[in-house]
Amino acid sequence: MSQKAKICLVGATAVGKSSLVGRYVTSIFSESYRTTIGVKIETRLVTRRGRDVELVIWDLSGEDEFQNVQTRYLRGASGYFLVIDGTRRDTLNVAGMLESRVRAAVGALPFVVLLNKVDLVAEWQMTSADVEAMQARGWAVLEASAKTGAGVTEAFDRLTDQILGARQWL
Amino acid sequence: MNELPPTLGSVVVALGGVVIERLADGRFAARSRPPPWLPELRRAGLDEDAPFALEDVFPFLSVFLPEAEEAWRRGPPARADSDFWTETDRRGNDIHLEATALRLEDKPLLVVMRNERLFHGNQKTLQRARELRITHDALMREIEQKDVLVHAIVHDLAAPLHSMMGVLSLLSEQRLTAPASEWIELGLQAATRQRELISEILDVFTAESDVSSSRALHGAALDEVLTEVISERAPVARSRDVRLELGAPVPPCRVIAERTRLFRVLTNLVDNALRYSPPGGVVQVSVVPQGTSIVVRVEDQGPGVAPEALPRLFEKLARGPDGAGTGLGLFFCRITVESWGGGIGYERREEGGARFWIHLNRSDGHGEAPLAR
Repeated sequence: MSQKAKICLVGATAVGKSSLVGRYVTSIFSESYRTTIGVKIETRLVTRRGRDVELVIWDLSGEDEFQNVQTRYLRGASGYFLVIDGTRRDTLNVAGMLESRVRAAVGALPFVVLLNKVDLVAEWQMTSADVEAMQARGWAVLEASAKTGAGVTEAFDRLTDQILGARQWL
Repeated sequence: MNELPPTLGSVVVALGGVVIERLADGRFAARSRPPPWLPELRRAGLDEDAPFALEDVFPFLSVFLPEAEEAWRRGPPARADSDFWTETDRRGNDIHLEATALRLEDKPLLVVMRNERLFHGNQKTLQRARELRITHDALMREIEQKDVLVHAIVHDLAAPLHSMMGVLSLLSEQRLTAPASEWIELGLQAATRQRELISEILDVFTAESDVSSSRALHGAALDEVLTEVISERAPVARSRDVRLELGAPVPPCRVIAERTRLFRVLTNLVDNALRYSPPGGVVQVSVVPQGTSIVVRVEDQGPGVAPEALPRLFEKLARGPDGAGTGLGLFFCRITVESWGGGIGYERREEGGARFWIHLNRSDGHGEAPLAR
């Protein structure tokens, strides 16, 4: 009998949240951009630390001028990803704002900052100072590419481990 | 199964939905036959008439419950509609769902509907808007990067130019034939003009990227800057046989501006006036107080601005009819003055000629200073 853990992905629009979930759940990546409306829910069964865990993954619509992230959707979550597009520095500011809103709405939850699109080296806008500033706040920061798959499974494993450590379950 | 009246239940099923009722113990039970898409979601079935936990069948609705509870508490005609949510069936197809909470025949119900058409319509609209925003942002970043590149190139062009001007100046001091002296003088004039153009381009770049400079808050002495401008441009006026004059002495007054840029703005306006003035003409600079502002006017006796050029007069790359200049001078003046909270304008003089004006806010606290008129 597996235990369930709800995890959410939040971030600015088009940072690659759905692509990360698609890569993790189905190993598929599509170049075409399909915006998410509301929430898309996927599941994946994993085994970590000798336990079977059913990850119920909530991929939330991105934050922008057209839609706000509904922080109430994080109720009951065991942890979340704060996704940033490494080629768009403004998404770093959105992530910072979302972290505050999530904390105010549902309290402190385990989370991992995921710098996506690490394959786009030539367009990369994040600096080591940006990463160090986040780490100085105690945030776990990982790099990943939904396109190549690099770092994606590691990121989900890392968050799952954090959740297992925190013992918050559905 | 404790179903809804047959007709109502059939309607919901025909529309691709399912009705579930919240029971007294907080669990839920189906009140209509499950639609075809529901068993495909790999969740607990609803056809067993057995109560179920909402999150086991529709995890999304667990976050919608507080809104649903409120609608049930208020009773008809209150209702609550959820956002769309998407689940994936066992074949990998996306199922787009939405729910409505309402109380019917005193039963707290949730109607869960599959609505692909509405979802895709909404998605198409939102996607288009987001794509346009992303494209716009990407273009802005590209423009910024190109601006930086252009700035670097223009800046680098200035260094060899200074060397060339130095060499030409040294040559002009040698004993040369009359034609050679004339050629060197022409070379120096061209190089000087080139330096002014480079300076203009760099001014615009600086103004665009640093419009919120706090240095402007300290203010600048308008009277001193104006005197410097008149004094510096007097030789140019003489060389064109134009009289450059200050309408009346300007008493000490400070305006919200950054001194170096204010000098450039006023020099730009005076240079334009000198360029278009006929030989023997007059370019007059005057200062007029207006409440907490000060208006500086630069008037000439030239042909004025052609009506067709007026709409783009202060825009980037708007050139005069003779094609002279970079088309950046008045644009630089506008964005610079506007960044100080001031303004710029043009009007045709009744007696002929052009009148450009800028208004600047006073920073010395004087509302109606006794400026000479």
